[in-house]
Amino acid sequence: MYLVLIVASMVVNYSVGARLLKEESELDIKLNTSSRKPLLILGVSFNLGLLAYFKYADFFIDNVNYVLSTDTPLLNLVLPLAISFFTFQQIAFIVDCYRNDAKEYSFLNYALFVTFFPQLIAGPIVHHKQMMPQFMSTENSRVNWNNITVGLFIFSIGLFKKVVIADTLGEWVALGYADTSQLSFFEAWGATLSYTFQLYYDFSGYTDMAIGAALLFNIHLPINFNSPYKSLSIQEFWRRWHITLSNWLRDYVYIPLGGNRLGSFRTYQNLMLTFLAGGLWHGAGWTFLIWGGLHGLALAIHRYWSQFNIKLPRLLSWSITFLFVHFTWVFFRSESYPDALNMLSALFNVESIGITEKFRHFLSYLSPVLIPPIETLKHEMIYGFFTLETIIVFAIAAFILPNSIQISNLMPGEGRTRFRHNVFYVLLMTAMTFVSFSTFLGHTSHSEFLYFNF
Amino acid sequence: MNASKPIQFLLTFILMLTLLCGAYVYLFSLQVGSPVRAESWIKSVLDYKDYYAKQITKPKLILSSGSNTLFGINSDKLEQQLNIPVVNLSAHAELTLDFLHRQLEQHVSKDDIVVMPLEFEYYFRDKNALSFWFVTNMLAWGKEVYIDKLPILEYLSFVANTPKSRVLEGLYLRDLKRELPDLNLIISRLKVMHNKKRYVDKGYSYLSLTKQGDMLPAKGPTPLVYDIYSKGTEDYQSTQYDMNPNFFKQFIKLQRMIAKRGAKLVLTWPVSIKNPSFDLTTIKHQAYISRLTNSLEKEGIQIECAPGLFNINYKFFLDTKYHLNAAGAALRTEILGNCLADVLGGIRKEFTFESSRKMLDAFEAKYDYGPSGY
Repeated sequence: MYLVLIVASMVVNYSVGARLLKEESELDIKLNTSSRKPLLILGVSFNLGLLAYFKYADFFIDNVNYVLSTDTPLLNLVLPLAISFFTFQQIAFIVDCYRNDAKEYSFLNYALFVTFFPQLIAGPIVHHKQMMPQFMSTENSRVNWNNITVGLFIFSIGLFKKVVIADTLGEWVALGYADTSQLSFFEAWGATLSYTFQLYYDFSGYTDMAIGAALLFNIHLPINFNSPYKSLSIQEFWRRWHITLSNWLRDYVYIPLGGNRLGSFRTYQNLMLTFLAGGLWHGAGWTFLIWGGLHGLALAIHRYWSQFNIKLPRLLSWSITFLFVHFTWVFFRSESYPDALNMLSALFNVESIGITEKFRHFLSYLSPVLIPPIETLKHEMIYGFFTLETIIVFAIAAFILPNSIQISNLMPGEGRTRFRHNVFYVLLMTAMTFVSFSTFLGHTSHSEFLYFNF
Repeated sequence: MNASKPIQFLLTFILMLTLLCGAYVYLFSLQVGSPVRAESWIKSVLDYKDYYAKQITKPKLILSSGSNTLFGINSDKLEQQLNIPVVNLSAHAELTLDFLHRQLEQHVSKDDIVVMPLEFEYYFRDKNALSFWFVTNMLAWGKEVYIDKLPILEYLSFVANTPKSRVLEGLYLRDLKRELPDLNLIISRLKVMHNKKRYVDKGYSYLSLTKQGDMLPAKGPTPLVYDIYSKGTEDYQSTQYDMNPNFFKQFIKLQRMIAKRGAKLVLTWPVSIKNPSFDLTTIKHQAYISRLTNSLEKEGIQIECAPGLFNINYKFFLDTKYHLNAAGAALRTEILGNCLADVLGGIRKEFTFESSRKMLDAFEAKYDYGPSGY
């Protein structure tokens, strides 16, 4: 069923794109824009229709039922894998055909562009202009040992991020979010910080693996993460987090809406609309819309603030940005709006600050001076000292260490140099691969990437 | 472009990773047999059963599955009913079908009948994963009976299924010795027990075995069993849909091995506690049984006897969802014996769930010794 869906989607989009390009080449584009526009609208509507049906139908029915007090049954459709990603890639293709910004490609290459396995399921969202020349290049059909080693190196980093870091944090996230109504202050911070870093390591880990796997075939995928938690502003965050989605939203939503060309009010409005669309793209739910709306609002505030040219201290800028991103992830992760509110109130519930009897005993054993003058919790905390230590280590890695793209020298615009084939890197790669393998040992359950759900 | 440096890098990586993995497998092998926490009593139970099975020279009936058969069969009674020697090889439902296959391979001969009332879990287990219970028990006591017999790829798969924390624990305890009773001691002590007129229950121990390998404690149900019955806490996998494809593969392999030796294999139903989450008088749970039967039939596997006859009142159970007490074992043995007599005689009786229930009600009344019976 899903194979039929993706093939049908490719055939329709390829045909629409080819038709748009043909009309453009046969007739004067300036005179015939109006005759091509219906075809573009039809193509975009087809893609959005697919997405609306499979992803948003139940959300719509649920809300209609709520507002009109009706009882229309939900469709309970299973979300076709990768639909959000391949739909966006194909919308970009037909819009570019309409803009005369695409070439006519063979269907085989087009199909490869849409279904290229390393990035099909969870991105990066690739652009035909980046990919098609690579697929057509005869140079790329030769074995390139340098690409193979860099690919395996970056793949090993991604694997390590996913199975060692993200999956460890994921267990604590599941514990914390299982019942948000009972959490104490430290438990809420443990759960939310775990999720903040789980999401980063999980998704950037997947992207690293996708980039690495693609490099084995001499294909360079665009980078998707550039140490986003080092950002000093929300604008910078969106230039570093899920970069290919940000670019897509900028090129195919924000700019067509008018971007910043229509005055301040429209700019703020466009930012809001773009990020609401971004929120909705991640999932059919009010929590995703709220998350998108908060980011849109933050970007609008940042834009307004930037006019005054007031420079905040770096540490303050970083703290504001990180904490904002951290708090908004609560909406992104929570099952429902009340769950998110419970979690947020626990994060600020200073009355529930306390340590367990065991931990107090442990501190008194070390030194009586270390015991903080705070309450002793009546219940055992769901997290132990190990959780705290681990979160700190993974956080420091995200805040300070160079990212996988920098280590592999794949960062565009930084004078790409060749990967250093030295002893340190081979040891690092072996250690990461071995530790990742050993983490799999004895695992009876499987673990999915978080972005498979979007 | 000079390709030598990347190739050198890649070869070094492959070599180092291979060495590390090799070192891990070596460390793993060092700790096989370490006395970590496990249910080692099962080893003595299996040792005795193997011994007893080898003593039978005539065609025999072999019972093989998990503890629903270790506890729920009175082999003495079954022998009388079918007039054939019986050995009960069953021990624990976490022992894999592959384990049962290897165990049966040692004992199945021409004209034997192998009866497998497999627990529902066998049909749904994760196709790639071995349970923690299984790996930890095999490492503790299964070296000779299982691990040493694994081909290299299956051995590596076993290594991959063992958590590294378990390997570290095994290495830590490597120098400690666990003394398991040797076969001669087991046989001599059991002979003493079997000479007693009355069955004596010694709990989870080889000392509780009957001559044919059953455990028949004459006790009433524990609170856990009562909870299953009253609160409906056990669904016997009835919410599952996807059967394990490996089950079919392994079962068919087992069928072929048994057929090749001129023996007959009968797959049948395990016992279950009739409770709100698994009540074969309800359409919902009957649908589960039909789903299971159809899936097996699609693969050419026939499951015998009326399933409704094994969905038994909690009073006949002991301490878990699968363990019958002595009265339950007597009841189940008579039902199973009747069915096996039909199957072996080529008779196929059709039962509806309603007629099964009526028949089971009559059996339950017959064997209801009541609390004073214990």
